[in-house]
Amino acid sequence: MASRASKKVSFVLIALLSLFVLFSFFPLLIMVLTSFKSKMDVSLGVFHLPKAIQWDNYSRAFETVVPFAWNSILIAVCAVAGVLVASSLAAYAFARYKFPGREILYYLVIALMMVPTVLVLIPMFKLVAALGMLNSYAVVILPQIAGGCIIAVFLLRSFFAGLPEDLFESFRIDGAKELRILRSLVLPLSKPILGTIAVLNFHSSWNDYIWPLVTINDKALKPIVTGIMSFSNDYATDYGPMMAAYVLASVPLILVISFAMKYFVDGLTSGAVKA
Amino acid sequence: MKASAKSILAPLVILGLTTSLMSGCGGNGNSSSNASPSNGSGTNGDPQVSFKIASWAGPGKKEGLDLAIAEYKKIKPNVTIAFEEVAQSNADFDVWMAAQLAGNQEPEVVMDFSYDNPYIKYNDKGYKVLEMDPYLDKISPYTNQKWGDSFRDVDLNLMRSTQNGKLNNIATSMITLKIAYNKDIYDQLGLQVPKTFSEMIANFDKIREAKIGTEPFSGFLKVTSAWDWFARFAAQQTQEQYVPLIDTLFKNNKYQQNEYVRAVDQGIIDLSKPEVRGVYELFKQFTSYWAPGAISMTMTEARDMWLQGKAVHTFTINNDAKPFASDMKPSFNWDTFEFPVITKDIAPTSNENPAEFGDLADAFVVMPSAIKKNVQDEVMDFIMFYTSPDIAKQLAELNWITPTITGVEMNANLERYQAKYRPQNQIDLNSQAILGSNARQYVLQQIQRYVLNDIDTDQLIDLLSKNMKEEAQKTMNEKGWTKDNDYGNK
Amino acid sequence: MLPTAETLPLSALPEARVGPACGKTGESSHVHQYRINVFRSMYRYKHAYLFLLPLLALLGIFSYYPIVMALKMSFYQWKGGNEAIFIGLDNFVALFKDQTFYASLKNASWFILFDCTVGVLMPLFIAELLFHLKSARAQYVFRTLFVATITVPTVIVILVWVFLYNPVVGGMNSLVSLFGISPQLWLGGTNTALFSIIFSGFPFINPIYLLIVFAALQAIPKSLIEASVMEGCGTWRRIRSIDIPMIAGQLKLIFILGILHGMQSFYKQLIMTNGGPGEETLVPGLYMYQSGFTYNDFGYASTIGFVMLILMLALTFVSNKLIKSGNE
Repeated sequence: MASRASKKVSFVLIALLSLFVLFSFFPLLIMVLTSFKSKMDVSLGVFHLPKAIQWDNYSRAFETVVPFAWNSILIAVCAVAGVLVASSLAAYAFARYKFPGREILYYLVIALMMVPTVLVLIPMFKLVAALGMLNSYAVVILPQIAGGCIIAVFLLRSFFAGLPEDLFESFRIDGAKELRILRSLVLPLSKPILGTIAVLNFHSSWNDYIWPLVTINDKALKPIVTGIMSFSNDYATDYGPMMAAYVLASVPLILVISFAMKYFVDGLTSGAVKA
Repeated sequence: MKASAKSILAPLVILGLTTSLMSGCGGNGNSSSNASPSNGSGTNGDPQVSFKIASWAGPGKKEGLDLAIAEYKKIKPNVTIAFEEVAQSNADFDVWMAAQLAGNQEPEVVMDFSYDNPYIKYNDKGYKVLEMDPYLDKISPYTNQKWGDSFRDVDLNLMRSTQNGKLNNIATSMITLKIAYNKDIYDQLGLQVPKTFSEMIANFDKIREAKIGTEPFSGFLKVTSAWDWFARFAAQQTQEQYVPLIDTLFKNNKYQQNEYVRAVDQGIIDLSKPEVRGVYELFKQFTSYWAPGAISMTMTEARDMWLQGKAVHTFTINNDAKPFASDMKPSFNWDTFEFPVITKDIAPTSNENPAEFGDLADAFVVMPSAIKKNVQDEVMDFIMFYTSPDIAKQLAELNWITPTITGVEMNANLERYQAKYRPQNQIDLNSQAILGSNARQYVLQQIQRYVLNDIDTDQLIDLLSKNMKEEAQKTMNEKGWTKDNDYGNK
Repeated sequence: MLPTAETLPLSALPEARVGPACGKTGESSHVHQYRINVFRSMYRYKHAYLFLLPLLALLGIFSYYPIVMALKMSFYQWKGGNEAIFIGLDNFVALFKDQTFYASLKNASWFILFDCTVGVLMPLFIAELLFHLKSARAQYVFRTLFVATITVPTVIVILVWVFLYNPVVGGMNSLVSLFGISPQLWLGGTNTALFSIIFSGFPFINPIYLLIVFAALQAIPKSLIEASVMEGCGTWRRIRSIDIPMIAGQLKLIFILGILHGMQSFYKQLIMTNGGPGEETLVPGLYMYQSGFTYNDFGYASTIGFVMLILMLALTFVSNKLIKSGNE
C-alpha cells in the first residue's frame, strides 16, 4: 500500500518537475530551432518550421565563433581561479579571525553589491587607459575577478562562519599553520559553495559584452560574444547563424557546468555536512 | 582529489595572471597610429601617414570602405588607413566612443550620423571636431573643382549643425523613404495608388472593411524615426509659412537652434495653432490604422510583419532594396509610392507641394586626435577621394546607395526609391528635435500615450507646450542667451 | 535535539554572535593603552590582513576608485567629456523635483516586489519538490537540468517573449483568448507593458537561488526529519515548522538579492520597451543609462546612481533587521 502511494507521489513529482524544466528550457529550444532557419524562414515567425534545414548556418557560425573561443576560455578560467583564490582567503579571514576593523571592512565589501555597474563604465575606462592596460587579457580578467569576489566573499564567509569550532580545534592542536587549515580542512568541506561560485563566475565572464567591447580593439584578443554579435548590425540581424553561434558558444558552458555538478555531488555525499 | 584541486588551482592562477600581465605590459593601449606622422618617410620621400576610421557595422559599410581604402592605396601608398567595425549597433558604438574619448583613445575619423548628431555627441561634450567649411573652397585633386561644388547646397545646409552653423561632418549617402505596398492585395481589392492623404486613408478604410485578415499599415513607434519623418514631411506642406518668421538671423531656410529658441521665447511658436496642432491630429489619424502593438515594435519587426503578408503597407528605405531583391524577397508583388499630398481641405495652410522624406547618412567626422596629430589635410584628402564621382559610382554599384554628391547616376536597382519631389528641410515645429534629445524623447513619450488614447489632443498640446518652453528656457540659461544679446548672435 | 547555531552550515548575513570585533581590553583603558592593544591585536591577526590583501588590492583599484570617481561626478555638470563644472548639490535638487524619477521608482517597486516574493517562493517550491524525490539519481538529473538553464542567454529569452507578445503575429493573444481574455497590446499597451516584462521571467526559477535553497534543505539534520515523520507530522506542517525556519537564513539571502536585482536591472526594460509607452516601464537603472548615454548628462546619471545606492543600502539594512534568520 505504502509503496504504491509513494510511487504515485513520485510520478506526480517527476511530471511536475519535468514541466518546469520544459518551461525553463523553452527559449533554448526556440534557439535551436531558429539556428536551422534561413533568413526568410526567420521573418515568417518564431514558431514557423523551416522549409529546409540550413546547415550552412552552423558552418558560418563555426567560422566566426571558434577563433574567439580560446580567448573566452582563457579569460573565464583565469577569472574563476582568481575569484576562488582571493575570495576564499578573504572569507576565511572574515569568518575566523576577530581582527580590528573586521565588521567595517566586511560591510564595505558587501556594499559594493549595491553599485550599479553602468555607472562606473567611463571612470573605469579612464583608469585602465591611464594604466596602459588596454587591449590585453588583464584588462578584462582583473575587473571580472574584482566583481565576482563580492558575492563570493558573501557566500563563503557565512559558510565558513558556520563550520563547527571542534573541527578546527583538532587541527590546531596538531600545530597546523593557518593556510594548511584552509587548504586541507575548510576548502574540501566547501566544495558545494565553491562549485556554485565557479559556475556563476564562469557564466558571467563568458557573457561579458560591453566591457570587452570597449577595452579590446585587437581582433585577436576579443572574446566569444563578439563573434556572436557580429551577425547583427544596425539594419538587421541574421538570426539563423546567430542562434547557431549561440548554440556553439553554449557548449563550453555546459561542459563546465556538468564538471562542476559532478564535483558538487562528490562533495555533498562525502560529508562532514551532517548532524 | 580534494587536496590536489588546490594545488592545480595555484599554478593555474599564477600562469593566468602572468600571461595576462605580460600581454598587458606589451601593448600600451594607444592606437598604432600614435607614431608621429610627419617623421618617418617612405621610399619616395613622402612622409608616412596612418590613421584609423571607426564605425559600427552596417550593410555594406565595411565592403565600401575597404574598396575605397584599397583604391586610395594605389595612388597614395604612403598613407595607411585602417577601418574597424568596433561595434554592431550605433547604440554600442556610442558607448564605445564615449569611453574612448574620455580616455583619449579615440580614432582619427569616425563614420557617424549626420545632422546635429556630431555636435551633440562631440562638440557639446567639449571635444573639438574638425570644421570642414574651409575645405569646401579647396580644389579637389579628384574633380579639379571646388570640393563644395560636388554637393547640393541644400544638403550641405542640412549637414551643418543647428547650434553653431558649422559643417562638422560630411554625409556621403542619402536614404529615401517611401511607403511600400502589397500590389496583390491592391489588385484584389481594386485599390488605386493614392496621391493625397485622404485617398490613402480611404484605402486604409477599404482594407479594414474587407476583413481579409491583414492590417492596413505596420508602423513602429518604439523609436522616434517614424514620427520624426511624418512631422518633417507634414511641416514641409503645412508649416512653410513660418520659415520667414523664424529663420530671421541666418536666413538659410533652416532653423538654427537659437532662432528656434527665440521663436519659442517670443511666442511665435504656439502648439495650439491649427497648423501645428493639425500635424498631431493627422498623425493620430494615420496611426489609428497601424497594426496594434506598434509602440513596442522596431522598424525590423514592422517590416517583417509586412513581409509575412500581415500588413498591406509599411515604411521602406533604400537599404531594403538589396534584401528585397535577394534573400528577403517578398512572396507577393510589391511597389512603392511617395508620401501623399496633404490637401487644403484637411489642412487649410497646406501648400500642397510635397517634399521627399530623406535622411543623410554615412557621415565622416574628423576627431580631435587627427587635429592633435596634424593629419587633418591628409584625412580630408581621403574624404575628398571617397566623395569623388568615380569612387562614389563604384560604391553605389556595390552597395545600392544613393551618394550625396551630384552628377552620379542613380543605381538602376533603386528605381522604386528614386526621389521624385524636392528634398525637404528640417522646419517642423512638432518634434522639438532641435531643442535636444531630452525634448525630442519627451515628445515621443507623449505621442505614444496620445496614440494609445491615454491623453487627448488638448492634454497633449498642454504637456508639450510646457515642456517646450522649459527646454527652451534651459537652453537659454545654459548658453546665456537673452533677448538683449539677440539670443547669442551679438 | 534542537538545532543550534553550530550545526547550521550556512547562515546568511553576519550576526553579532561571533563576538566583538574590537581588541579593546578593560573598561578603564586610557586611549594610549587602547591604541597599543589595537596594534597588538593587529599584529596577532597579521594572517588575517595578509589573507585579505589580494581581495582588497583588487577591489581598491577596480571597484572603489572608479566608484568614488563616478559618485564624485554627481556634484558636477558633466557631459562625459573633458569639461566638468562643479555645481554642488544642483543635480540632487533637480533629482528630488524630478517626476520621472519618482515614476521610475514606483515601477521599480513592482519589479522588486515580484523578485522578492515569486522569485523566492518558486525556487523554494522547486527545491522542496526535488527534496521529496526518493531516487537520488532523479534528484541529480533534475538538479543538473535546472542549473543548466543558466546557459539560456537573456537575449534569447527577450527575443522569444517580444515575439510572443506581438498582438498580431505572436502567440500570446491566442493563448489568453482560451481563458476568455480579449486581445491585449502587451508590451505596447499602457496598462500591460510593466506586467508583460515581469511575466517574461516565467517560470521564475533562478538556478543559483535554487541551488542555494536546495543545498540548505539537504543540510537539515536527517534526525529532525525522521523525528517529525515518527511524530506523524504532515508534509505541509513539516515544511512550515522545520524546513522554513532552518533555511530562513538562505531565504533571507535570496530575498535581499531579489531586492538588489529588482532595483538595478534594466536590460529587459531597455530592449523590450525602452521605457515603455510613455514612462510605464522606466526603471531607475534605465533612467540612469538614458541620462548618461542618450541625453549626455553623465553628472545627472551619477546622481541617480548615488541615490539608488543609498536606497539599496537602506532597503537591505531594513530587511536584515526585520526578517528573523535561523540564528535567533
